[in-house]
Amino acid sequence: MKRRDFLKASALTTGGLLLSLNLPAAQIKKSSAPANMVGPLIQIDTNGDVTIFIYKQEMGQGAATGIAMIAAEELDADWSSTHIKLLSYDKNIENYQSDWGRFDTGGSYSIESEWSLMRSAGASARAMLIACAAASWHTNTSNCRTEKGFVIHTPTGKKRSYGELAQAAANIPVPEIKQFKPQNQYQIIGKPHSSLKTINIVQGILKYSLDIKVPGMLVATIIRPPVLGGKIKRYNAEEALKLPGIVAIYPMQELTAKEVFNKGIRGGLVIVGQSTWDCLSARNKIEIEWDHGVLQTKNCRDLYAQLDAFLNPNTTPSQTAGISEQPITQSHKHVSAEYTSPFIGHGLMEPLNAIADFSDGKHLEIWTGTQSPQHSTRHLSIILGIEKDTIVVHPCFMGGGYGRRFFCDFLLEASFISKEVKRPIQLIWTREDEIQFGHYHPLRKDYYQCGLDNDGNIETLTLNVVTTHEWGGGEMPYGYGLKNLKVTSQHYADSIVPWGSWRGVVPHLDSFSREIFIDELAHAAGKDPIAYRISQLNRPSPDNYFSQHNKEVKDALPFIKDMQIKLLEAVAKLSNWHTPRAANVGLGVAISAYHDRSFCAQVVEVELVGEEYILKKVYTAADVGLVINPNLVRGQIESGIIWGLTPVIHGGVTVNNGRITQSNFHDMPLVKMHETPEMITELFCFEERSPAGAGEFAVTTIAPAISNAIFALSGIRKRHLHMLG
Amino acid sequence: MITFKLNGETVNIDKEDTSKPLLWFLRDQRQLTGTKYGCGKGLCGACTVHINGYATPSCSLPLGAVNGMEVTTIEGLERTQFHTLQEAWIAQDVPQCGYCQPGQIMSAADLLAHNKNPSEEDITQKMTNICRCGTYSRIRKAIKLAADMTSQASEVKS
Repeated sequence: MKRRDFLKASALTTGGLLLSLNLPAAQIKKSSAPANMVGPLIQIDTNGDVTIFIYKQEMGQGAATGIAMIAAEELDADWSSTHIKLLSYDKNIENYQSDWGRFDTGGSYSIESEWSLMRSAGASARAMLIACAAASWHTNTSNCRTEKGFVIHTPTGKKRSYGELAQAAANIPVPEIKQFKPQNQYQIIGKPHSSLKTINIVQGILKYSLDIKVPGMLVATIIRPPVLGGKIKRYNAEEALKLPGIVAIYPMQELTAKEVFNKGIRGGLVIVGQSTWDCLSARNKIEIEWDHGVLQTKNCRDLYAQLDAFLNPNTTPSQTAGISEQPITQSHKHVSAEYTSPFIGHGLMEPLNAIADFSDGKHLEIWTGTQSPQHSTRHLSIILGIEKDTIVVHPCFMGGGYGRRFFCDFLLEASFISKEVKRPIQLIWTREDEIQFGHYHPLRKDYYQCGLDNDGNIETLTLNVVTTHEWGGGEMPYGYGLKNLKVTSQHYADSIVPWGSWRGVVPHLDSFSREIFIDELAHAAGKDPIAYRISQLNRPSPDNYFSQHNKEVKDALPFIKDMQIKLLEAVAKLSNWHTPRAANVGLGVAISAYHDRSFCAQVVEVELVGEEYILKKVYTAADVGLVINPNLVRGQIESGIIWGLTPVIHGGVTVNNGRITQSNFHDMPLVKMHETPEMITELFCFEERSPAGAGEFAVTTIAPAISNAIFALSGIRKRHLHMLG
Repeated sequence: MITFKLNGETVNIDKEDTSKPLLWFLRDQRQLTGTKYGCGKGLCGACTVHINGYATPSCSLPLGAVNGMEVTTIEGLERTQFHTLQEAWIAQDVPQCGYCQPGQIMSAADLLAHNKNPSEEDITQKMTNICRCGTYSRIRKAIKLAADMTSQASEVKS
């Protein structure tokens, strides 16, 4: 399927050009779908303003700006008059019928997945504008060039703006683009442009869904059962109902679901009022007696022993190489270690919220910050029992997504309440709600064993993962050469709290255990940690290397090895790895490859001050292929470091008697200014390749690097993710 | 009856619950949504406003307590042009998700209003607002840039 076949140009009623995706009717499976579903891509107004329509959700990672830069570059637009618009998800938009699609945002995948289409769109629009200008000058298109929103007649220098040409350009057939702009001519891509949100943010006028009001709207909040599976036994809301701003108080049923990104809702007591403060004040005036249910005896610290008991090394492996059942005892030297992580919450600065208008019980309109307008709509349609094409989602900029906003629980809640009270409802989660009713980073245990040969090289490597995360663990391939490999993964499903996506997801913990363990191997081999990693990356991998996560893993390995070697050398240089530090300073290294395409090597300096380990510096050498916007990529690296650092210093959340212990930032602290290290970052592009994602890859290396630095400093090996503070 | 100044204009309230936190009055009665709800307990700084020029959380500050005071929100920080801090924030491209940033700017504005040349330690002490996106190093750079911009401007004047 060629992208260009589905590009269509149309004239706007206001004058101007709209370039869209347009699926032919034959492609549409569902008969009730409209015949001309469009996917707006680029709009050019008669005043020359360019609007890039954004499918991807914007949560601070800068995807919207990056995507706009790609299109604007090929279009040769004037960046200073380029704007973004987030698209609403409704039945008229292309690909609406699909349960998964362009609207869903996660996995550091936005720039990668939008790259080709947005280039084509920009280049197509540019070609149409040139054709239009050339026709008006009665000349050949080869005599024309473009520059910042103008088509220029090269021989004479006369020019016409995109604004002037836009309406006529709509009548030009969309051309086939045979080549794109060469990189060395880039005017926009590669420049450190600011995010297009910044100017509105600093004035306090950028709106999040919490800031929106819809006519006729009431506000709601929910007191949920503290223990998963708990229910209301009885409640007394008499005092609360006397408050003038309170409209209704009633119990909501729990809903169990076991789908990816939909784990149902807890139910609880719904409070509906005229305003947020009315609802929040009512919460304190209500008495509830809970039937907490069977999980009320559960504690998270018991889970580790339960994972041990659940461990089955004979589980069918997910990665194998060489002789996967080779015992490590056949090797000259044996090293084993176990690594653990706690449940971790998200702490999104904007607590979850959504406005839902489901007043008639048939048509649903939602305003919210969500990572998954498209996928959530599937769940809403099935659970609410309405046709999908009666649902419209208006995405908003998010005050943090980080994986939590991929889940649709808060959308279901808001919709149910709106239907019940027959009014649009803004559902507000308090900070306490956001902490206690999360979908958490998993509690997980990694069991590593390795047999080394006489020279300290890896012969046989085994990893067993037992995790509360449904997707398991041990998905990252090994660039480190080895003779025999076995990776198993087990999902411990009796989780006492729901699992979820947490920035870095599976690679976060895969890198955590791997990069400490490789350091332990380096130590056992008596080698420098960077030199050892490089030496092992230089060693071959078996021909029969198999991974269920990647059928082409063998083809990927040479690239993975080569990139990691180059980045380890780069970070060693950047950090002056071989320069001795003071006696109370230790250096640690870690390297990771997120989705085998985004590479990050970090060296950290940890200082022992009294009895406290302080992270002082982080050196990062990173390669994400072509960098669309170095300002945004650097921002993501710094952001990822702080994100990954947070549980290292402050741990995660704990579960006692079935409930989350923590409730606000006094007991679930997050990293602040005073804990922020100095960060020195260098971006590389060792091989010409299309852009790879930057949203998560820098998260995965910080914790193991810190553990390794502590070991270098003090000989103490920290193997639990919460290792400081 | 409560009377206070809000972004330079006089506000008289007589039919309002005086225990309502200032945050919700600003957001719901005045549509000043730049001041954000982050935690409701004065722990995160997203709700930071100025009371008589000093950065204060508004999420647990009752309306009754601002009687006779001057309240400034992010919208009123600089009404005709960008405050130097806002210019510095733009120059450094500080925000990512942006939700905490109005509160960050308000805290920084208090710092610079009372300390024209803050040291690294001064910045660390004052800037306790949470940023989940971790923009702290750029916040620090923007504050130093704003301090430089202000001192250069006053050098030019003198």
